Amino acid sequence: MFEEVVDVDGVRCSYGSYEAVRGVRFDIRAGELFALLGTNGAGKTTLLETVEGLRPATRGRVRVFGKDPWQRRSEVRPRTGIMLQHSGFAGELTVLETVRLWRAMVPNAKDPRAALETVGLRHRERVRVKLLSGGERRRLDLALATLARPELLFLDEPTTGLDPESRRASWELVAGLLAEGTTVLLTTHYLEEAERLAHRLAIMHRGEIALSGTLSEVLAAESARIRFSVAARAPGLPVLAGEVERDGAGRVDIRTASLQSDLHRVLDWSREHGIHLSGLRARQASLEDVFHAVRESDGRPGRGTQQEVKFR
Amino acid sequence: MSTPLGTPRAAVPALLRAELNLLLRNRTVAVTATLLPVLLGLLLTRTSGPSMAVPALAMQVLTILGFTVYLTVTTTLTSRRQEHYLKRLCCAAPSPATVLNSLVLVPALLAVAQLAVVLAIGLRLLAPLRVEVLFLLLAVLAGTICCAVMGVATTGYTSSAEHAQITTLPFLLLLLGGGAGSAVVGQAAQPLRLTPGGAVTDLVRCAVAPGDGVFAATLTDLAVLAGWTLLALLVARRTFRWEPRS
Repeated sequence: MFEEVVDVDGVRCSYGSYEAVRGVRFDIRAGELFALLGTNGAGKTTLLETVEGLRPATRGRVRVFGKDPWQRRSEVRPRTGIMLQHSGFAGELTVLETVRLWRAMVPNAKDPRAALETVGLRHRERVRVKLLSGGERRRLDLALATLARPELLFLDEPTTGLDPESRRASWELVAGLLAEGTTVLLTTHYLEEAERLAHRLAIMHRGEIALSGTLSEVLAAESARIRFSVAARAPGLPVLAGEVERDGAGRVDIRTASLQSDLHRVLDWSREHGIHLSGLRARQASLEDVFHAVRESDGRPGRGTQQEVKFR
Repeated sequence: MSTPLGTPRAAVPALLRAELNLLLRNRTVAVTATLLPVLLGLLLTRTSGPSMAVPALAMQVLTILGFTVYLTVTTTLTSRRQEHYLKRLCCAAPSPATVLNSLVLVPALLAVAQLAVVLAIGLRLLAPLRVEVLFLLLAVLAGTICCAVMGVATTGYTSSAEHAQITTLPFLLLLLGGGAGSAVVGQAAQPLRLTPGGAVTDLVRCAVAPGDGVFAATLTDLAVLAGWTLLALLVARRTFRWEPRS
């Protein structure tokens, strides 16, 4: 078995003159969940479909299980499970008919009813797919993508449109597959989803990977925050490692790479002067902060290369 | 892993079954598929004599080729594409070619079944006439393949199932108009014989009222249909899409 299940190097994808993916490099190791985050139109789905082997890369190299998924489709495809962004069901087929059709289309599939049981759709098996709710369709979709116990699973926004409970159930299902050794490539809008599930992640922006690594590596790229309010006439703050913003109303916003020591200094300062810090909050950067930083870095110079990019 | 890979053997039957289910659950298609051959069969009972036999049989064959094969292939493939169903099917083990062939095979088989019914009635009514069944078979097979491939090609220009009512008109005109013209004017109508409808009609004529040089005529007709099929293949290769068109 290959240690690297997916290997993407210098991949570019164009639609006519528009380049949706502009030179992307990443790899996914066996058994890990790799999350691809990004704004709408960042190129996530195009990149995902290239790795799935649904379209060829315009330039660069894609390898899945060490093979080109487009050129050697028949060897790669049976080992993967794909959940597309649009489910693509035939509305007039019933739920059970849909699963049965899919069972015939993939090798070594599970029992259809057991698969429906797993996603909580057993009681809907005789219903035509067009009558399912959005969440039910997505769950059926997940049941099909995992029907053949794929070694590599692609999930394109798997929980979009799900209510919180179904989302949690889907996460449990994916976590179960990970525990069995399945490798997963996931795209999502939900940062919480990536934070909970991903071993490693990449943030895409305008066709490039702006940042990638483990969750803590990615979070380390963005400063921690300390926020509080003091009376407008309070004395000046002590010298801190981070950047301080203080407005006329006494609101203070500190961005720092050394959260603990700066927080100590702030607390010492407040005790010394007997100052009340109202609404005090101190926290590590969240994925959301990182995500917004990537978005706001639009148009800054020197953002041409991926992975090595640093930003504040 | 020791698991067998590649296309599972059950894939094609399952695709055919699902597609047949979908076709029959679409009321328009279901009604056309069952009523059309019956109505056409009834029409035949009104026909008498060999002079009417060629136009009557030809128009029945052409109507089924035009509606059950060409229109159905265009409409269903377009709507399957627009609802992302084609793309989904491409995500499984079978190759895209297997998927496409299976989806097109269903209307084609349906048409062959309808034609079998209609022609069985027709040949019984025309019983005193000597009929070369081989030529009829050739007309049915070559015509079905041509219309099916042309249907696939037409989806490239069709943005929705409703839009198919417009995009299918030119070829339906060539098929039914060419056939009607050729049937009325007779074998002398050279330009009309070059239309797909004219070629099918001529094959029917070879079966029912063979004149001199039947074999040359048959070869010409088959060449014409092959030419149209080839043209459709070339167009389909360039324009066929697996993903929705906006």
